[in-house]
Amino acid sequence: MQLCEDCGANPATVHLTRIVNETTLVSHLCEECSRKKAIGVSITHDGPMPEAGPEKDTACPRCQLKLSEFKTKGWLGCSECYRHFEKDIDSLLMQVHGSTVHKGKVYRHSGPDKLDIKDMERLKSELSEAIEKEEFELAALIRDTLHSFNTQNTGEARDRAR
Amino acid sequence: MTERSAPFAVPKWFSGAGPDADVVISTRVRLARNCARYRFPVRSSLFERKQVFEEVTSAFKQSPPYNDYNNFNCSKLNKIEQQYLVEERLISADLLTAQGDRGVICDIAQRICIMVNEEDHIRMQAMDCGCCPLDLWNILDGIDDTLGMQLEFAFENRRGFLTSCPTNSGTGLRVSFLMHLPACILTKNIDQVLLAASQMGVSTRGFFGEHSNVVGSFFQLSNAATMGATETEFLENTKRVILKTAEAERKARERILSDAQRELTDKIQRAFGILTHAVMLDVDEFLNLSSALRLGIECNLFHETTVPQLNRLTLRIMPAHLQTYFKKTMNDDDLKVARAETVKTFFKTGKL
Repeated sequence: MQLCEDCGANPATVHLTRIVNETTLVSHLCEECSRKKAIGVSITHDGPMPEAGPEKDTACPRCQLKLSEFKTKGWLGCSECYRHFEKDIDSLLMQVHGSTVHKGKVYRHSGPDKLDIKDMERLKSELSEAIEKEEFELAALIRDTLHSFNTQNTGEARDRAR
Repeated sequence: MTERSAPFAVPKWFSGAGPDADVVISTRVRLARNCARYRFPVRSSLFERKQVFEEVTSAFKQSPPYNDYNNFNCSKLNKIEQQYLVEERLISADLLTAQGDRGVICDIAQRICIMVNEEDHIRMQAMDCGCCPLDLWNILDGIDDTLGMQLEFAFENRRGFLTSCPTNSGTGLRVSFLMHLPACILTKNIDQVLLAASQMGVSTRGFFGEHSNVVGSFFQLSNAATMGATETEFLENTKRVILKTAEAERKARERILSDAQRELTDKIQRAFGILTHAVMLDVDEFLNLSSALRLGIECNLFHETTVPQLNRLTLRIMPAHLQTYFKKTMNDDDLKVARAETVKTFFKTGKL
């Protein structure tokens, strides 16, 4: 994320475009500095990040992204973050989109298919290869991925059985 | 890079044709998607990126209409080859700074491309010349369905498609229009026109997209929100604003033609003079000067070239295109000289 040109400390969320004698000047500022300047026209607005408060800095259980990291960088680490930081994300969604409800396309995944089985076979062979080469960090990652495949597939099988 | 069938052919989005092409150069629709099983690219391991890259490319290649697409793995391209893809707008500059396996799958005519492992796992986009958001959406919607059957996307019923940055979540849809608004600038209407657009939910960026400066009177206008309305509503609302903006530009052109035609002709001929006599030219200067020629062609005041030809030249003088054409790496000064030379030859002989 780009930083404010003025203070250099906060993320630039306000982009000012000014046209002076046919020359276009674009400045990228943070909320505070843009308010201080109060000049020109605010054309784009990424939406301000919710300010970091004194509350506990929790981390997402899946990707370990901290709430404070999200607040400074503006991006999330995984889909689980949306559930874990629900309150903060919803307030940001409200500021940016004026809504927290999706009204577009509805998506439903049809469940595990041939590709998944093929992937599992590939993963298993990559796992043995990693162990053979003593690349244990990589092996652990592959094992986790395989594990998430398995729980996902048994979960869906259970759903179908109901 | 050798997979490209016709090097230096102008991509269709920059052909100068299409509806409302006098003001709207091109339309781009993009969808952001992530695979549920993996962490988002910004947070994922090299291993996860490799998995995503393989899964997306193989899912795409297995879908019958899409098996003759090209695919580039950026980690295997050199700097000039990477920059070439950015100049053709097949990939974003952000994709280049990312790590690990990442790249783009694109069709020969370059109307459709799917970036893998940029800010989100999948950024699919369709581009074409003129103002045509709904046609492009129909194409993307189909690709999205096909890919969504084979991959499992991160999706929630309430918040829709989940993206790395919440500014894209919901539909994940961004429709942007590259517009040429020189008369709005000359008549000092531009602030008002862009403010009106922003009040109707449309935000503005420069020629090269996010965080880029405005050059050559080019503006990229796109929907600001991506959640809270349907895809069609976002497309139609943005299109309505674009057509209004285009109307304002046409009115401004008419006003200049009736009040200040001599001054405009002077401006165009001066720009032409510099372009045909300069010894060194940088990209921004070229874009600013050629903007006057483009306006001249649209107003029937300049006949030395056509819009499609000017577009070809505009792409050719970009740094990676020049270096690819001359088959050597050049520093900034060499590039400026080669650019000026290319422009001069083009106007003298009509050849590139």
